[in-house]
Amino acid sequence: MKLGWKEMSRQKRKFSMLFVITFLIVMLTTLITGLADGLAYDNGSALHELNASTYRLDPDSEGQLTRSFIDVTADTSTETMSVRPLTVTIDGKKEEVTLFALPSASNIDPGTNLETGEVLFDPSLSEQLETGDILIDFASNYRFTMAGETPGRYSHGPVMYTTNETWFDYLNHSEQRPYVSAEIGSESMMSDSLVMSQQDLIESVPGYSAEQSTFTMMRAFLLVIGTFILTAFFYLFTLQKLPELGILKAIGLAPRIIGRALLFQVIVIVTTAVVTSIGVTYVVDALIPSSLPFLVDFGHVALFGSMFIFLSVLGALLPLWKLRQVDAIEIIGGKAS
Amino acid sequence: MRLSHVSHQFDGHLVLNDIELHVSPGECVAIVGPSGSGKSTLLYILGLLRKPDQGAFMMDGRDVFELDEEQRRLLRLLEVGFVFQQAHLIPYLTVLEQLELIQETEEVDAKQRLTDLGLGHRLHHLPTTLSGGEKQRVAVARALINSPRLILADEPTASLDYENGRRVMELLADEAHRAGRSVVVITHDERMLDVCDRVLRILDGALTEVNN
Repeated sequence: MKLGWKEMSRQKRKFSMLFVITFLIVMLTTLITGLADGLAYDNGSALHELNASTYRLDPDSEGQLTRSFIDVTADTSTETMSVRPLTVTIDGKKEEVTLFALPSASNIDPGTNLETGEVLFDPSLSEQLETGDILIDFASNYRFTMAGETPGRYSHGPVMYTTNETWFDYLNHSEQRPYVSAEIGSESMMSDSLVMSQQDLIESVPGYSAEQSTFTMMRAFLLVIGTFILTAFFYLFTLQKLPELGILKAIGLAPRIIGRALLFQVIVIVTTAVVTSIGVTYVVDALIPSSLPFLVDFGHVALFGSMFIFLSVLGALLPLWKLRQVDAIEIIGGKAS
Repeated sequence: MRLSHVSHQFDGHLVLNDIELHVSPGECVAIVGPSGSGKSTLLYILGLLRKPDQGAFMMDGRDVFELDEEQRRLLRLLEVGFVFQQAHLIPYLTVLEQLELIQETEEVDAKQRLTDLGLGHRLHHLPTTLSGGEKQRVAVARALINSPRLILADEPTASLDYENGRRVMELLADEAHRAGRSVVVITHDERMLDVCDRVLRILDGALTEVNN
């Protein structure tokens, strides 16, 4: 390791260049991870907040809450929730919002004792909105009263939370047949229909899977490209050093000493790049406007960083193999004669 | 050390033919011969880098080519010192660190050894700041750091001017005479031969003694 460190500290330019390249690749990966997590949050944070394990939806809904219509039964033991996209007018201006109606006395309630007609709204709905303001549903003229703010996003739009009492009042006001979007409960209660987990529900949000798959693919490619670049650099560095390494081999220095030095350098450079990238990603998160969907999930960026370190060590096997193959005689004097 | 009935082929051509060579402790032997005569192959066999097709290389009464690769590596590290045509120093290690990297025994004080070779003021210098003669003296010091019994030098003066070359040859001969090591030097430079105790010529794979 001393050997590896001495080389790095005395050949700063070479290793700095390698660090910068590695850092930029890892940085791109962590930024994309932040963006992916930000978009994932923006797409389904309202569902993340729900604290139930399973949901029963209308079989024809294709897993989408906004397309699930379940007739209300006399069974009062089942908790229900309803989700519906609305167009509301705020000071005469139309805004798209998703209404989440949740049980008022359960572990997934909106968190406040709301009166009928009252809603909690995501601050991104409108900067001008204040508690006590009235929102009017464009289709039914139902009047929602703003009772407070609470964050919640669904399908890249703001969410309004309310109680089931308000939901049924809303349906009644607009002369619609009473229905709910999902029944909530443990898996054992649900033997038929379309039963989904919370993660299934999130992944069924329109565009969610396509969006996340794209980012996953980008990250996977970046990991592979980064590993290739790093491997290529270390391979070239090893080729450059072959005369000296061949001499050391001829002298009798154990190949593992040289191999360890190389592994040490790979681990130090990539780990430093990963740690720096995560730090810079947090700084970026603090600096960019809140309107940009960006979220740093330490677990995620650390996971991709760890994968990068692992793949780089794996890539280092190529220069290590080359080291092992060095023919000392060839290095000393070419052909033996 | 003794080479006994050593023969070796290279590309179907007999490079060494039934070679017998004995070098006593304290003896400096020079081997001369035209290019392609088998000098280097002989050196690689003496340096345990190449196993001959036939014959034995006896050290301490055992054939070293009976040892496995790891044992031969250790023998090279501890019992054989190499000096090459080029110094081949590690560019990012100081003069002192070049020796410390391969030092396995406390018997020799690396600083003292370098000082004895006139490099006391260069201990913490990188190879890029050294002259050709200084680099080669570092290479000699590196070859001696584990107090090997056999020193092999392959054209050690080829990249040096006469004065520096002579100094390196005298260093090697002095090591043989003073410390009782066996020294084998391959050289083209006939002006250096008088430093050695014996001169052998290799021609068409056969080794013959040259009368001074």
